[in-house]
Amino acid sequence: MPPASHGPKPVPSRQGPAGRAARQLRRLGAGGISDVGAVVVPVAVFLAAVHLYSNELLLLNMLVYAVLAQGINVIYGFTGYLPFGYVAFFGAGAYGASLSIIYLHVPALLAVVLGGLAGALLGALLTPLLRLSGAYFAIASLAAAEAVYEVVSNPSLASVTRGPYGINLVTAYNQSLSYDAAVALLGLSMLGVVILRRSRFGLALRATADDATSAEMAGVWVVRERSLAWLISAALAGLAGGVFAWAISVFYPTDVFDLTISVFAIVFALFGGVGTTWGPLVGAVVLYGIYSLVGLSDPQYFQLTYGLLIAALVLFLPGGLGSLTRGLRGHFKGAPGGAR
Amino acid sequence: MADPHGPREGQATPLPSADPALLRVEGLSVAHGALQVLWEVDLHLAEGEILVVLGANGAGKSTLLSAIGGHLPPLGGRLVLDKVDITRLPASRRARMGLILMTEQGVFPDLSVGENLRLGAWRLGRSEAAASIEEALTRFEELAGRLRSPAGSLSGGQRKMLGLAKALAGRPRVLVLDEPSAGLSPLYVKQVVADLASLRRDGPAVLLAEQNVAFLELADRVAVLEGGRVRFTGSLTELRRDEALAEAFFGLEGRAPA
Repeated sequence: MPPASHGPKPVPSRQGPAGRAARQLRRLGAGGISDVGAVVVPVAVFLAAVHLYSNELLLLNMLVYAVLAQGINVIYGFTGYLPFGYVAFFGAGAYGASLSIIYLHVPALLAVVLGGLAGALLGALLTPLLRLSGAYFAIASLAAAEAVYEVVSNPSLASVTRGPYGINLVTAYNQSLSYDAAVALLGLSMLGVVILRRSRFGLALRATADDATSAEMAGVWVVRERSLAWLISAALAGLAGGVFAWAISVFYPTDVFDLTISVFAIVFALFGGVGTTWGPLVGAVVLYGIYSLVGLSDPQYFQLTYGLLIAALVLFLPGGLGSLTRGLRGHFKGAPGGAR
Repeated sequence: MADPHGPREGQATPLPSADPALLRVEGLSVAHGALQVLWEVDLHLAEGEILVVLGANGAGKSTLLSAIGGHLPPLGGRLVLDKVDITRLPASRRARMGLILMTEQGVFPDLSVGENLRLGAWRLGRSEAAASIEEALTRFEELAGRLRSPAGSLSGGQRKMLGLAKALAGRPRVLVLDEPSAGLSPLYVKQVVADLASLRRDGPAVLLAEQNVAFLELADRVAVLEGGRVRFTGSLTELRRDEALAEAFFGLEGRAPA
């Protein structure tokens, strides 16, 4: 057997900058320690927080908003569709979970999953909205959310949905388990976004958001990938709705179809930075934290603080807080993509 | 001549039973809304051949290419890729069959250079994609150092280079290029021509629409579009022999080289 060096080089192209670059490119697709951290750290922090801080409802709301902000991240950050009626999926999830507890007597955890399914089903029903774009899509999704609310809260459907009289799940109430489920759901949403950022599916989505025609020309099945992202986003909101319904156990239609929920989720996601892993979570924690500190005690200052924050964000950091850390990292390492 | 707009190709060659054409455009008519732009265009492209489509602004070049790519449904006619009728197939299916279009923008500005290349190689399996991307990076070494940079941060010339690298990363069977010279300095035009020329051997069949005559040196055949109809198809020599056309495309120095 002759030594390898005498024969023709088996893989000559592995040498030189192209080979190095290609290997680097392959590594780009692989996950790292930061990906594990993105799932583990938030879960650990929220699990610990409930033992250190007594206002569990605040933490629960924060969790739910973080999940919703990640849901907005999936659909807006990865496809560019901004659904103002996003709360419809949250409400559908809350009702899907509640009604399956009331009528099917399923365990609460399973009911939460069914809530996610309800969100996804409503998403499937609303898939035709994706044919619209920009403001038309935003407005149409808003109208759809209103329509769903009108149906659910309709007194003539009271025998099915309890109409405007609301839901009572006192028998299923379990404070600590429902909180843990919300934490797990946050972990799931973080994991989902990590996978999205790393996967071929996520790349297809980002290409579609950047330029749908070019993505199509590259061979990406744009309609399918986009619809799938829409369903995932709807399912996340449905799961969040299910957990929320279980955790608070008594609510009215106005509580889970409140358009403020859409607006908050969108603002949190944008504030932290869409398209990133951490952005929506950070946005939800910071802004919901401020809201809870200032908004409840001094609503007038809250409006002012919020207004200023959002104006500053739009003016100085249109990419969200996430773009700030990216900029700093670039500052220390030299120009992005520079030789290293 | 009965039809002044008809093709001027020497004689109508009957179709051989074994069709040598990889891509065949048959009687293609296309409209933008109510405005018809192409009228019964017939073209064919053999394996490994480079066909340059010339035409003034508004002659229908881009319309022809987007119809071939699958972005404009034709009013009539047929498109055949390797004996498969693709007239009704969506653009993504055509791309996965190896019919790859490079438009004027060519790249995804928000995505990194590396991601652009991965999208270029979308139709290939994982290991073949890795190999074809590496090949593209060997050809375009300038890109290898900038894999993480957003494509939008590249200069116009580099962006065009990335567009070409991305298109080639998909190992196209038919590569369709819309005005690769647009917005490029003459130096880069030379570069792009050289890049394309280096593809010649066992490269893809190329359909290239241009106004810039620098690309004519690549052409195995030339087609001239005028007012949405094929006015001429033939070799470059034949084109130069046609006084009116030669003057339109080469100007005064027109017929200089033999």
